[in-house]
Amino acid sequence: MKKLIFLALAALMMNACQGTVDPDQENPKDNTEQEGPNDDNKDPNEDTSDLEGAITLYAEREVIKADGAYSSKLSVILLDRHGEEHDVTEDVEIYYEGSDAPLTSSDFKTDKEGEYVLYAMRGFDISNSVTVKAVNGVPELPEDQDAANTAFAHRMLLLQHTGNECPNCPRLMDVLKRLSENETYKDLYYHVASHSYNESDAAYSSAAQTLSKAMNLTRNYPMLTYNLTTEDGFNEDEIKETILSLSKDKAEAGIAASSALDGDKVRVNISIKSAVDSKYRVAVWVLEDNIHSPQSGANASWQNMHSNCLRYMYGAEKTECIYGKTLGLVKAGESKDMIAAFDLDPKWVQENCKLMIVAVSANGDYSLANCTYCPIEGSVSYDYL
Amino acid sequence: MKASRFILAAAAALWTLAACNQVEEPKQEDPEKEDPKQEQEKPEAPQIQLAKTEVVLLSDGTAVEVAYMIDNPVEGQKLSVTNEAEWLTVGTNKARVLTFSAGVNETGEVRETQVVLSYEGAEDVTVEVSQEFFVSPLKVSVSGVTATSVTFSIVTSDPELTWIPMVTYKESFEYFETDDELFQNDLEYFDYLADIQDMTRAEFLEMMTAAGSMENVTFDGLQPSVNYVLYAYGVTTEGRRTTDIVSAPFTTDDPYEGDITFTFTAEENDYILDYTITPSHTGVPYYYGIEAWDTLEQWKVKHGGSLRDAIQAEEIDSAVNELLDLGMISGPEDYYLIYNESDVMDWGYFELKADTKYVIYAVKWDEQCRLTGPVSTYEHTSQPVSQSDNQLTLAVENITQSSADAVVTVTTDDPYVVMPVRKSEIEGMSDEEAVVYVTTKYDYIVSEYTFTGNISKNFSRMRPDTEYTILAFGYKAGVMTTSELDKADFVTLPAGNPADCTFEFKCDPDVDFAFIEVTPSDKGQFYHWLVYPSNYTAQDVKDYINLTIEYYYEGDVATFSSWELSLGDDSANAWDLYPATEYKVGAVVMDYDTGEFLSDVSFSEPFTTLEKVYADITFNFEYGPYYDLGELVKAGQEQYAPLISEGNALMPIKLTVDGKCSAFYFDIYQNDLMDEETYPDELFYAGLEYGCTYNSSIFVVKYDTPMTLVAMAYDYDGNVTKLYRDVLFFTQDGASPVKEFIDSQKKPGKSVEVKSAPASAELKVASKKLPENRLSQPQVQDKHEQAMEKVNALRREKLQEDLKAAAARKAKFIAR
Repeated sequence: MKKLIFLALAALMMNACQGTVDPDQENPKDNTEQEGPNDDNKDPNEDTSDLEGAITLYAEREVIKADGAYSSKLSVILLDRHGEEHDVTEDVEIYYEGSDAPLTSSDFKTDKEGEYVLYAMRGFDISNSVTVKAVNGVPELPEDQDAANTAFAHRMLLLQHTGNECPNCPRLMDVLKRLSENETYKDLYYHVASHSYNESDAAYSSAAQTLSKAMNLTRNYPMLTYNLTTEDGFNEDEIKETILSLSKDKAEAGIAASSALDGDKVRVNISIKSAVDSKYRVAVWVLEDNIHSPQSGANASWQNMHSNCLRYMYGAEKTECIYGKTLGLVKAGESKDMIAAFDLDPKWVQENCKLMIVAVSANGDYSLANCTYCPIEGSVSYDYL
Repeated sequence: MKASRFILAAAAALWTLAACNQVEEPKQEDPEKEDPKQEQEKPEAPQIQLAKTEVVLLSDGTAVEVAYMIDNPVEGQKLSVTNEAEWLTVGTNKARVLTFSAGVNETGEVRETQVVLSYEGAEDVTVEVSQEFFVSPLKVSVSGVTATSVTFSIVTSDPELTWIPMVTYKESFEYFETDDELFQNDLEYFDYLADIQDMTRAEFLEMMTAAGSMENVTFDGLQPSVNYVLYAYGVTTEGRRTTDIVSAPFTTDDPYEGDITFTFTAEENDYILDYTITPSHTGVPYYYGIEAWDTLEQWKVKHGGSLRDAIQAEEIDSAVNELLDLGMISGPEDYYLIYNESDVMDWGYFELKADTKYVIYAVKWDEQCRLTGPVSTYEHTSQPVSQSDNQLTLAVENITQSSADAVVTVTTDDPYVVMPVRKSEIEGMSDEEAVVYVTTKYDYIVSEYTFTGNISKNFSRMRPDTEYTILAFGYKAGVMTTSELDKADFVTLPAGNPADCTFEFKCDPDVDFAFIEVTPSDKGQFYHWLVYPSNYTAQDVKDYINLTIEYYYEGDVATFSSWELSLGDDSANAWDLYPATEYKVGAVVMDYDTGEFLSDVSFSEPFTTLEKVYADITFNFEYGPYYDLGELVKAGQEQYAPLISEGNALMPIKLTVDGKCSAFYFDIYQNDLMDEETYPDELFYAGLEYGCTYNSSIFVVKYDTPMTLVAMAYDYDGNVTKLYRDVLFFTQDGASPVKEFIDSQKKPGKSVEVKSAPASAELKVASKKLPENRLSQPQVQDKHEQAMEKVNALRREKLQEDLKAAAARKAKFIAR
């Protein structure tokens, strides 16, 4: 049957998908992503027993090891009628669905795999629900050989927006190839190819499309963006100049990670060690190498084979947030870890896949602190200077 | 954390529960620590406390959570819930929380019940639960109709209700007997749209739905004088319909018969004019354009002062005639189809020359491209351009037989033009005349030669042993902005004897294409190269090239040379090769002007394309009975009457596939196409992507002529299957009783997955492609080439189509 597509809805659609979702604007009730409670709310001496207001449950970690020891710290914040927040964690009962017993600790841990839907009760008030996933098979982090060291090498993120039917894209491919062979530049960055130009591209992904939307790209392909912010075209001199201007002698955070694969299931253990007091978000992306997709305008046969192609952004499926999951505050000299658990799509060639881990400073705005590749079924240590 | 009063006494029971799941256990209270005096006292009676005892559910049954607690709980006791209402569910999966939920109340009456909570030793507590009856939360009303659009409003009772509106033809809407059938059909349609956008259904619906009431939503792009139905329903992103389907029929207006006028908007930004044209009546065909005022005035003088006549003759008729001459259109009606507009045009874009008055015009016309109404105009004068103080320094380096580098240093970021021309072209001209000459003659490509900043630009495709001049001058919006013209003369190196030119080849084959690099020993020779079957002889190559000139270029050597001959090193992907087939590259030096062969044909070593990996997917078709269309109409199925002109019978087909399938397509073509030798799979793949992608379809088929059912599918790696083929033959005698079909379409609860589509006509052999060796390069230096470039820009698409079609006709000659 012929059917007319509803053209007028294009206007409605714009509201739904334009730009990046600001994680700070997300509703904690959604249980999709939480920025975490404000540490300023914690006054251990405050008597909160008489306070009235809606309560919100937060979980420090969305994924924990199912080892009975690794925990996700739970906290409950009450919003009073004056709009002020109060930590009432000590004044509530926290349950998970299917259990009659309240937890006896606000550090949630378990030795049984599963998804635990947690909620808090304060008198007759019921909080939002928060899901914490407990998983097995989480690999150990690589040993930190220099625990006191916070002098981390810095890598910036070059994001190449491209597509195999983009006739001008080989020009940027040429530039990036030369950069990767140039001693001055090759160690200053990591590269991700985001194939969002055309869906028929074998390297196309909805994650790439999300990125292009989030970065508000037009059809001016190819495009190279830096650290998820600055845009540029493909003029080689400008690219070199921008790389040098954005490179840092020292990164504010280091990334260590280990990854394990069981069937299609990926478990990633990530630690962010910070040189300064800073809040972070952590993005985990799946990249695939050696994707064969004949390139329009190719001037060399290697351009028909594409690598570092973005396939998936952990946690971005619902929120379209390209900055990853909330890690929270990491104090100077300390580290904090998080776990990512997701499945590889059977359409991807597992042995050609690797991870890109991006640490983003989240202190009111978002800036890339550091990034690194991590092999699947492998690990990466802090890259000290 | 706060200790639970409830849990103290019930601990024993809960420990048992907790032992099963190993999750953080509640603190155990040591009985020995309890006050012995308390043990002596009679414990207080338990009491059920509830946050509220009245629960009102929304009509859609959205769950309501109510907290409770047990004062003075008794060990081992649990709250019990007595609920006698079948429509109500009371969930107790969450400790201390009762979850009341129900389905949509479609009874038309408020539902009420009492739920009794019991706890041994405590007084029962009764919860009054009620649910309002469902009132369609969605209303749609059409507030305006034009010839091409409908404007409507949606009112929702719930501001968060998500809904989706659709417009379809009235007969399409009426085809479905129930809301569910229509909705299932829509879901399948959404899934299809989501799939081709690599989205999930949820992602797609999240994108396409709106929430809450909305006024004056407009659908445009409709056709005049057509009966449509606007319909809408609430839907979740998971694809669950939450309301009845509400609808409003409407008929678009007839096209306006009288004269129409137009309003214009125009905004200039850095000599780019963005403009819009809004007709007084949409749905009326009109033509529009923009032209310099001076030019229009000249045209008007030629045509008795009539602007309409001037546009008709100089803009439309001349273009139609030119395109007719080029064979790109078969008549003015083709031109009409390309250039007709009938709605608001809001994408007008024009690059302006500085300080020039332009006229945007629009005028009603008919299908024969005859202007039939008054011309509406809008004048816009572009900004003047400032002179540049950019100091250009030009040098020519690295001169070869066919190329040279222009090295330009500048003092500002102002734009400038660097363009090489044959010296003879501008011989005797003043600087000003030379600039006017090149910017006028090559106006259409000046932007390709406009730069900013310091550059070192290689210009290629020059003739050997020839004098050239490179010109450099500030240029913006059609105006020379620097006071001086920089010129550099040079002579390209002489070429050698063409017969001595040799070639080196690099061939990197893949399954259906190969990356080819050709390196001639003499960079000053024009040569032709192509991928040929490995058994080709030099004479075959020359025959093929001569055929190409004679048939595809109609003897036009200049055009052939412009598009087909290479100069210097060349490389490109050679597309559309057959898998596992031996090929070789052939190259031969040719005279650019005469098409004469100037050397022997050089061949690469043969190379073999890779074996094709086919997708491991099997097709499970269900088809057989077909139903006579005439009999269906006689049986009262009037909706099929329009299909009688397309065929004789309807045949339902169902397809399921086994294997990791990312997409499948099937179709029915006329004729027996089972012979793979005559009709190789590759012939079908491209065209079949326009075939059916649904699991179920109904095809219109013809009697007494063979037809072939074909199908293909792709796996997740992009591999395609071998083509599925089955030849079909239908006769009137073989048709099944139409009652079967009618009954099958009326089965209650039947999930309608039916699409009606006529069997495709002829297999489009144009999809069989010649290995297309390369695209022409944009560098245009040669005088003659430049002249032809403009023509070719117009012809290119048509030419390529012709080439492919012709190649298909000669497929055996070329590729087998």
